[in-house]
Amino acid sequence: MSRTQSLNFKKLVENHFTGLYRFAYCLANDEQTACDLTQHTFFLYANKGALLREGAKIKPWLYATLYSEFLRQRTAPHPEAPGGLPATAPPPVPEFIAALDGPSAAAAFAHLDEPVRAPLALFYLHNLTYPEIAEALDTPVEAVFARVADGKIQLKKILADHADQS
Amino acid sequence: MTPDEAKAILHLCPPGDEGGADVPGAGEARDLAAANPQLAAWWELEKNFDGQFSRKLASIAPPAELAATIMRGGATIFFASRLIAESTGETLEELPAIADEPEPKKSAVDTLAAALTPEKELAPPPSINWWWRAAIFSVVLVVILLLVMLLVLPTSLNSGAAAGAQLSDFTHYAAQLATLPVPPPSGHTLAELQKYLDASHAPNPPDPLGPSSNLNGATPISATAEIWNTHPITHYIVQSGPEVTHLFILNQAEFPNDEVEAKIFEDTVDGYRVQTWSGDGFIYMTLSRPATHP
Repeated sequence: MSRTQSLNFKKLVENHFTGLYRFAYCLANDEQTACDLTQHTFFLYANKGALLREGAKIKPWLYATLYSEFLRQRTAPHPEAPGGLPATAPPPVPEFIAALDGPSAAAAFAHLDEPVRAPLALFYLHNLTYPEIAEALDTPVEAVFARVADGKIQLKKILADHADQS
Repeated sequence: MTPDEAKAILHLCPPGDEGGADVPGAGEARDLAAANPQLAAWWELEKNFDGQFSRKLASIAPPAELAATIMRGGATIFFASRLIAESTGETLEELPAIADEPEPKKSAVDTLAAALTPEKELAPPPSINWWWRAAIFSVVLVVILLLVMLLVLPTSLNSGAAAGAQLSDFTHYAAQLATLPVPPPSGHTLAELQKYLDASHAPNPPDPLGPSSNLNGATPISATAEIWNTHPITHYIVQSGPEVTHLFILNQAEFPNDEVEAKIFEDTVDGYRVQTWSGDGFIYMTLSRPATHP
């Protein structure tokens, strides 16, 4: 293995491990699982990355790999969010959002419908463009638009409910 | 476009990219918002919420050791892949170049990654340079080994036996061998290794590789010394039942102390079970696979 090989891997880790970890944290809502998912993604790349075709977009591949592994590990079905959400939802009070810390904000994703969680997490993490999100999730970009829109409504509702309770 | 349609478009614009470069109709929706104070006020609230929530997620910090752990695992995989390629004569595929990424700053993980990534070409045939180097090391080996055998080794072996319960007899013994400036002669190493591995000699020693590796009673096949990136590596091959294990030992003193922790990393590379761990001042790596594997 060449020195270049090692440097390429190091560059990749340095540039993407934080974003991948945050994405994993939003999905799993657990530090250890997020670490495992992030490590698994890079180890899979180290092991099989050479098989990627020339010019392949590595960043969407990393996110797609992490998401696939998350889906593979997931055993219990996710609880459905309450129905009857309005077509638009007002944002919760800013003071409530300001009082949240990062993990608490990520915990809100656990209450979202499964199909909207990954697109919405990637929307807020802003590591990928819409076409890249679509590629990573193997979904048409129009579906990503719809899921982000739906997810934002759900998220605001969940945060507003928590704000009311507190 | 109605204000409601504009809202449906604008709230798809990601935080940090309110222009919505990838969102169809975003330009027209922005123009409408500029001309509609009510819509503009709504969008301002929306952007504030999105930005605030995005910043919350961005404040989630990975554990401090995660990057180093990943680098260590990657280095292990590269190292293992190279060893496998050399043993099978296969050519390794390079990872795709990351041309669009900035050059990384020199960091603490460089040394280990570099050390585990030899600079010589993949799977090269033994060259004249290699033989010259081997000859020079052989001469040095003879001189130093005589001194070591007279002065150091007996003491080391005794202390190794006494300290067997600390980590593992096998690990400790291997560590003693690896402390030699140059590797010991193969015959002596194999004999001592066999003596150690003999279950009757060392009943129930802790197995550093875990129960699945079952090194007790393993048969040493060869012991060689290799120099990778100027770092000496001791390489043993042992057979345990149907499995052949390559054991590599690196002196941890060659690396900054904060880079290698006493952790076990496991993965599978090209059919080999790869394990690394550290302890007693040494880094250990094993590659194991069934002996019948082609």
